[in-house]
Amino acid sequence: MLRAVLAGAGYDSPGIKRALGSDGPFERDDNLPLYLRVLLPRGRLPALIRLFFLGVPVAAEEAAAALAPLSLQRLEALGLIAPREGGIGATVDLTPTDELLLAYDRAERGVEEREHVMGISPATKLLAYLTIRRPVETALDLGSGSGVHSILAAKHARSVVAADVNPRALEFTAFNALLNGFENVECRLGDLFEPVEGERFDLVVCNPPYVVSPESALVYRDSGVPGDAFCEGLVRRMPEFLAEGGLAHVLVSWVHGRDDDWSARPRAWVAGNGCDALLLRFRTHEPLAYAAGSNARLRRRDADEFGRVVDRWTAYYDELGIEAISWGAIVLRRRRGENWVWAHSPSAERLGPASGHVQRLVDAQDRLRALGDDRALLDAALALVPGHRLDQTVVLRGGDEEVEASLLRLLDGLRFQVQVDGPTTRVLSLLDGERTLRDVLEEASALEPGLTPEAALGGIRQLVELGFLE
Amino acid sequence: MTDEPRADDPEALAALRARLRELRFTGEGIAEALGGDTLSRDPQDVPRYLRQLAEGSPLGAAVKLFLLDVAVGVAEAEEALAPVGLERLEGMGVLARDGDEVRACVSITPLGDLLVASDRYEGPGGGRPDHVVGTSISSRALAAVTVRRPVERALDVGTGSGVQALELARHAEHVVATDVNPRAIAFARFNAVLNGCANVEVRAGSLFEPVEGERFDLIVSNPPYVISPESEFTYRDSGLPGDTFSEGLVRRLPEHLVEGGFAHVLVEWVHARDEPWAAPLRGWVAGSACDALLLRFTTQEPTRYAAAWNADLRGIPGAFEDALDRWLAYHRRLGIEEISWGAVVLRRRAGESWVLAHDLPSTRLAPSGDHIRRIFGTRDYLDSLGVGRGLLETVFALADDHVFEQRYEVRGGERVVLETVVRLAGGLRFEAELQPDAERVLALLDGTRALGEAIGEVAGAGRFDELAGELLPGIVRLVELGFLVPLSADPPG
Repeated sequence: MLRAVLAGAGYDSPGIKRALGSDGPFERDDNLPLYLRVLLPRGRLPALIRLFFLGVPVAAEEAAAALAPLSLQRLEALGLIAPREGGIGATVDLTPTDELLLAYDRAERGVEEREHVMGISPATKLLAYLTIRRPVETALDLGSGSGVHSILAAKHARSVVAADVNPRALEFTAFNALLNGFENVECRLGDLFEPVEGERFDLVVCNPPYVVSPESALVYRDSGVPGDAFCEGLVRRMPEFLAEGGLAHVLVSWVHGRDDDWSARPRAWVAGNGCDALLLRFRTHEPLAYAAGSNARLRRRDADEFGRVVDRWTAYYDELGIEAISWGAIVLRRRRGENWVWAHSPSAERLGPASGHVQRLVDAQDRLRALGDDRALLDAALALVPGHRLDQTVVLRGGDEEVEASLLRLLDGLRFQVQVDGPTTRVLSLLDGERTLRDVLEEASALEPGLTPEAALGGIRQLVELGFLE
Repeated sequence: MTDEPRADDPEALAALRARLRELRFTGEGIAEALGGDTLSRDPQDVPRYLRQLAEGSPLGAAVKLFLLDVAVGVAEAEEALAPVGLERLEGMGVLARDGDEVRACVSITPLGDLLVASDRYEGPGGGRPDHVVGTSISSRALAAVTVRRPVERALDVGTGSGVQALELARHAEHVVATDVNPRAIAFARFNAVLNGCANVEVRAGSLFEPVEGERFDLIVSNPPYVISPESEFTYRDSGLPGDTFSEGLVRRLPEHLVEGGFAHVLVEWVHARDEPWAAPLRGWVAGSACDALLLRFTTQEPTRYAAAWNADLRGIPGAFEDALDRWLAYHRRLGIEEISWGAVVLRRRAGESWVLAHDLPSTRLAPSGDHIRRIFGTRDYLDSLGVGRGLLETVFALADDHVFEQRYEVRGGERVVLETVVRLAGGLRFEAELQPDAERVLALLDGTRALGEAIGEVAGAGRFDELAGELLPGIVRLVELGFLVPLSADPPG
């Protein structure tokens, strides 16, 4: 009923953007006074935005009118609103995403509280985007927090187990599942895998407290385990909870030396674990920047305390010999036989829903490993996937076209982009999904002197790996 | 509160300039010392910067003193600034000693190979009414749009720290800088000496008062154009209602320009939501005896405008809210719907004047003086042609820094062009979308054939009139934006 009331008032992502005259992202800490002045003084939607989006009290009559036919008593009994100075206030944020409506702890009140339940962060979105969405029987959301990943999984899994060590988080998960109309989410209290010992799942998603820090104050951020041992333990245990063919997606941080190969450590974590693995690195920080970035909120509030915390964190990294901290995602697929590992470093900036793209990355590895020799690719009929763009930068000099750069990019998914040279561009332009690569290379080399199949093959293989070619 | 700096020891300031250069106290050198970070003005970043600066480095000490406003031990400061003695800098009000530590009384920011001394940031809502600003987004924007050519006399109206005057001093024989704020006068004089610019003359007085009856080859002005109910800061608030201050300034510029002289001024102006942004500015320059290029950077509605100008008050409980209410009430009372920010470039020229209005894609401008001169030249050329005549006979060349961007998709083994954009890599970085055949015509404009011939080659038999009619409006626009240069036209000046 709450869902219907909110939908009826236009309380959704586009409605809120229109009412606040901004496309977001919304900085409620900074811009609250501004938003309050932009918002119309009266009306159902403005009242609901004040209550549940901006966290500002609303006069009781106004709240009652905005929420009717739901009574204030019922919502108070649910723990969503409470009497406040100036009328009625919300006890939670209700944030609409593209598909869902999510409740979580109000940011300005409790971020520093131990059992705070986080809202939607960039990491939340990242994991939601990366997860391969296909119909499955069972899914597990490990460390469910507000429950966003459980609910997204509930759309394509027959049953979902949401596990969290924080009882408050499970209350939010259960509430949010019902708010969005899903009854197939089962909440279980316990640390990590504890509530699912001995069970196996077709899909696992996990956005754990991966921050590498000396702290253990915040359940949603700090694991309390030194260095990256927490993430390592998590990744190493993951396979035993996966059914054959099952997929796990987990966000992780790991530490390494300044000049080390970033992938060496996660490769060791997944070696011999009975799973194929995609290792995606989004960012690497040096310790000081990492400490400063992880405590950005504190910086704004108390510069001196911020300085002390950064010192404590950097001293901790020094002590453990940590020179760099990387952040990324690991996708595991349990599969009998000889497993593969593929490591890549995409940008986390330009990301959209990537289920199809991640699936293509997995399929590409399967295909290339099955072919064995790259030369076997010559018999394949390839084509650029839909949703690609080839951007050419051309300068005219003395009447001649000089192609300065060609950029091949994907509009969706991980939005990869790669520079391609002239001959490769020629080859790509001829691929139609019917003729074999061998035929196309033959035709292209007639037009591009200097193009040899051997030279072209490496580039084409890379484009298959990245999911540009199918 | 300290006094303003005094430039009474030129020898010491020359030595300070040399020493800071030696330490690589430059944008690049400082970014390196901070591990690749560009320095922000946010005092909340200071703890992090302090941890990044190498212990005991002389450059680090200079950064702490002049950019981070942090005290430094006397010995460390002595080593960093030697051979300039600390007492000499104290004597000029640059440094102040406090026990066994010294602090800087001014901020010194590197700008290219210039050093710009200004008042330090005093925290949210802080700062004295006569606070003197150093470099800012607006000062960089003004410097970028200024037509740089060797001239005799240049004028900087409302010079503040003198940053524009220092830039003018490189290509003008004599620079006059005016300001109504005595503290700004002191800073401008100090900076002229610090940078060894002997050709900058600083005069006290409001706007044009100190140059009554004088004319200049080049004028720049980054005045207090903000449309606010306040009269708190000399650098920001003119105290005049709405945009009347900016209007008055623009209207008075022509009388101080020599024939052919250029004036560049940053302004903000108000307009109705459904009115073209350029409409009020066209009124200001009408009948001015000047050609005018109107450039718009941004347009904001009053709420966001008020929030942007008062952003740093967020640090004080209640202050941001109070300022928003005060500003919004003021804007409501004046019936303001939109506020635009931009630059007006005037060139005094006898005869019938033209006005051209362009939107800028970004406020992060590359040096654009040459591009702006090119725009004046191409527009003069268009005006010299009779209506609909001569354009097709003109030999054009495409500007050197052009780049075509073609977006393709491959469908069934064929390349399909989705969009072609031409943009300028330098200057004002204009961008224009091209019609399908326009790119082929432009490709033929290599300075060897007239526009009409190029269109003819692309059109083929019997289609000339049709194609010319289709493409000419877009091509005229490319000429106005400075993409296409008529080879028969002489550049001005």
